[in-house]
Amino acid sequence: MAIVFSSVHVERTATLEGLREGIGLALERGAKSLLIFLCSRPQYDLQQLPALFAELPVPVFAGVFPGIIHDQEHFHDGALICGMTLELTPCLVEDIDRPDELIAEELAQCFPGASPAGALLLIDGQSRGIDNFVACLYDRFGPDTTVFGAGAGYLDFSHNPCLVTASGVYQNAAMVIGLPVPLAFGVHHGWESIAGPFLVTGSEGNRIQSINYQPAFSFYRDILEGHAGQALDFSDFFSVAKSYPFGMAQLDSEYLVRDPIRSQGEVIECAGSISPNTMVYILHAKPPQLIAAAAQATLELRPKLAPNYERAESLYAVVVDCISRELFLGPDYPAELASIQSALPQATLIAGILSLGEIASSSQGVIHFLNKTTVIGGAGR
Amino acid sequence: MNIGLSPQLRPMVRRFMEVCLRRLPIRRVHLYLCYEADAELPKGASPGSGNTLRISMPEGGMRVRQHLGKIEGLIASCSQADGRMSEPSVIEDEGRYFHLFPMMGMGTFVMERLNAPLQDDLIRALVPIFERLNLGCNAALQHERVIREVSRRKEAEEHIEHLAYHDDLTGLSNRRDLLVHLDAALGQVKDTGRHGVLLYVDLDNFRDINESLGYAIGDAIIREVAGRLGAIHYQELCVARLGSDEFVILWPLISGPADKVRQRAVQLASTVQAAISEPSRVDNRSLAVAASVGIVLFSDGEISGDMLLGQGSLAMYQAKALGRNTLHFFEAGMAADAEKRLMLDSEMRVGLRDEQFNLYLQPQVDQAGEMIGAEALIRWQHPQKGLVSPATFIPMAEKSGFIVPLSDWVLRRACDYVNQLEAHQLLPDSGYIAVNLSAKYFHQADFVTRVRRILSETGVAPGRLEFELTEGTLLNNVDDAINKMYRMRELGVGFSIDDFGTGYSSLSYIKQLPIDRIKIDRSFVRNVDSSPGDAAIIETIIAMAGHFNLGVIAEGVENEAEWQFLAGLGCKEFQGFLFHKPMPFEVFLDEMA
Repeated sequence: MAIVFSSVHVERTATLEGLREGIGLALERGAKSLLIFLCSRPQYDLQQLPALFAELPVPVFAGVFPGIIHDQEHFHDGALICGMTLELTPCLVEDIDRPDELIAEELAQCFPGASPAGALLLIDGQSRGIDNFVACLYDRFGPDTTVFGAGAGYLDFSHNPCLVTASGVYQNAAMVIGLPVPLAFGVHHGWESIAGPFLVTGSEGNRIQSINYQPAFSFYRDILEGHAGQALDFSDFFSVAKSYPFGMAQLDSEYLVRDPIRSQGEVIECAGSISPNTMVYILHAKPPQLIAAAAQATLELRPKLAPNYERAESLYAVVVDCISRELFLGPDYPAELASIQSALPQATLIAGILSLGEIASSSQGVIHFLNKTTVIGGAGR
Repeated sequence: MNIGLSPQLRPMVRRFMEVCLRRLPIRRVHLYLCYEADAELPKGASPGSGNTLRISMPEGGMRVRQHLGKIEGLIASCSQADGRMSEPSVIEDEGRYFHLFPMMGMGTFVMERLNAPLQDDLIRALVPIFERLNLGCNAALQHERVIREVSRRKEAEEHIEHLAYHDDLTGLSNRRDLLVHLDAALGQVKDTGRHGVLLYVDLDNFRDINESLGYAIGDAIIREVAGRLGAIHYQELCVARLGSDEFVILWPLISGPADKVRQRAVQLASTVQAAISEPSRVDNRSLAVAASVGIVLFSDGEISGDMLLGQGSLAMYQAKALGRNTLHFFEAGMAADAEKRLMLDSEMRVGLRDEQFNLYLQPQVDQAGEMIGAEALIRWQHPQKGLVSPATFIPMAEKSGFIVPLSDWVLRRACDYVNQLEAHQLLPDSGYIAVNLSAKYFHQADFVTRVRRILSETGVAPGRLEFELTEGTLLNNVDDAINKMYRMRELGVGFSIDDFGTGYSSLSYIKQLPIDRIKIDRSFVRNVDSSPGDAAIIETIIAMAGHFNLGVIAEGVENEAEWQFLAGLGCKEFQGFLFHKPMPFEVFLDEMA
């Protein structure tokens, strides 16, 4: 992805000084704008960043993520500083849970002419407006713009400001960066159905209230305990639920995964919305299935990459991998990164993030907000 | 599949489309619904080809128009879509597959996919969903029609409400709305102890603009003035038009001591005058108008809105009396004067009904002292106040319009006298009764008709009447005066110019008018034997009258010396105490018998 990245540096001190130094290196390498992925633990003092960014000679846009990935390693602290070969200006949209006509109006102002060939999208991964915003963006761009992105947020799933520009720090917002080149992706998750289908009979946004006309949490718990053959301890909801996501059946036999991240009484909150009357399945997987799926995503990507990935060195493929995959795989997670690397052209490096939701255009062009999925992308043909 | 919860067509359909795009391997969807060509489109829908409306997702993206053209080429019209398609069909176009799902005669749902068509079993699974969507669309369209109908009705009601409280020409508040604001302001000043200001604004000489340039230009100026008044930014200002060229500006709730409030009221009034006096460009001409402003300060919540308006009107008339384009504050004494005038007006009307008015006659004589005619002079015998001077009640009657019925009465009574005098053979062959005409009466549009009717009803020969007009009456509207005088002259009615010499005494109009005689004002006559100047004026008048072949009568002749002197100057007709005082008709009959 040298077509887009002029340099990629990992900053591990998690200090403002370290960040400043990393930015300096990127500028020395000719960055015309900067995309920075900040780890949420330990957190940088975000309030100081707008002033730092405002001092710089190039536009900067940053997001907070549960982790970063660089060259088969992943970290929960520090930052990944990506220098861009182009001067890019993000379109920042606040309050993305507003009615869609207001979002559409703002996007039309940001992108008044023809749609860009590609676009990066960083979005608050805990906002209730994600699906609405993604639908509005697709409505604006149409199917010929390839969109790649990630849900920003914190490793502890707390909902706090997670997007930063020279203008400020934002929560419940999205950043869209138009690109003059198309993007290519491979998308796979590896989860398979163990129960279902069930009907979501009550939901609002990303909160499921009832399934099959029964209280959602009790219903979900009974299914999982039936599958496990024993009582499960839900005192730490996510530690159990990370292994049993919901899958919305696509009519072409695929599942759109929704990660249950917390419960509140009988309500289950997911990363991403589930509409009422949606048919869902409960999914499960073994680590090897996930690791194989990541490699599958990479193999799917490879023929779509721009030809110079096969020839040049130090080009980057960008991985957006769901944090829950890393939490689920635990010590096996490096194997997932290794499987991705092994399926790439030899000289291609990987850089990326552990996200709260993944964003990619489908083969038909529709932008999807995904959960528990590996998305790997690069500059397309 | 979920078709959403919104009862409106577009949100409901787009929710459905969103789910389609999320759940199906497709890239675009379009819904074409049959719609009556002249009906209003549902909110957010676009017109499609033929008599269809279109809702698409995504709306944006490259070459979208080109694609729509292709799709719409497939669905040439609603009737074609309805009549020919009952089963889903697919059409391939350069690697794009368009799946067309008919919707039970309502239209077509189109799904676009790249590279390969949808599988048959998937298409079969979708058919019942579109039947459900069809029902949803039907319900949404009905719902939107009802909503639109209700909205239209609401708008109409709001419009009616607006009309009831706003002036049609300017959009400003009307009198009714102003009174509501006034009531609120009076309540507020009472509760808060603060002050309010009312400005009563009247454009100066606006009637001239209407009459000379036409009402369309007049209306344009009123609109321009209204716009300027509406643009004055004072907190909580209410600007109203009462009608014609009268505006009222209400500024409630001003804090501070009375003298400061007074200062601020003057500032506001000056701002208003400055805004109005700015020239307007209307119909390619630059027109400037000025305004007189009456100001009322109020801090007493006990007064009514109507009374406040009355006070504003009084102050405004006072401002006009001071020379126009001026400001004047309302003062308590003005109300008392106005009340007195109103009382007088009411009493006059009662007086006419109860026959308290009387018409005296004062003979006019020739050089030999023989009666040639008589001037009719009105007297009012008030039951409590005694004899009220015409100088007191005539101006008031002019102002209130009472002068018109009063003049009718005078004219009719004068005609009765003529008949009685003729019956007693007391009127010489060329004798007449001279009646003073008020300007307001003379300029009534139906003046000629009124006179004709009275002459006809009383059977008096028009030549037995002479109308006395002042120079001011004639000059008020010369064209109208000339027209009416000639029409009267055709009947045989005579005319004299009263109080000649005190006004413009213009030869040019004397020449144009059908006048029989001029009356030399008593102010010249009084000093004729002692003031060479007055004597010279009278000599000039007599010479000029001789030149135009007009008679001359001197009024107010009180002694022998004046009579002799006037006769020496060539005056041949006289009126005054030397000969006869004004007298009731019964006395007149006795004296002349």
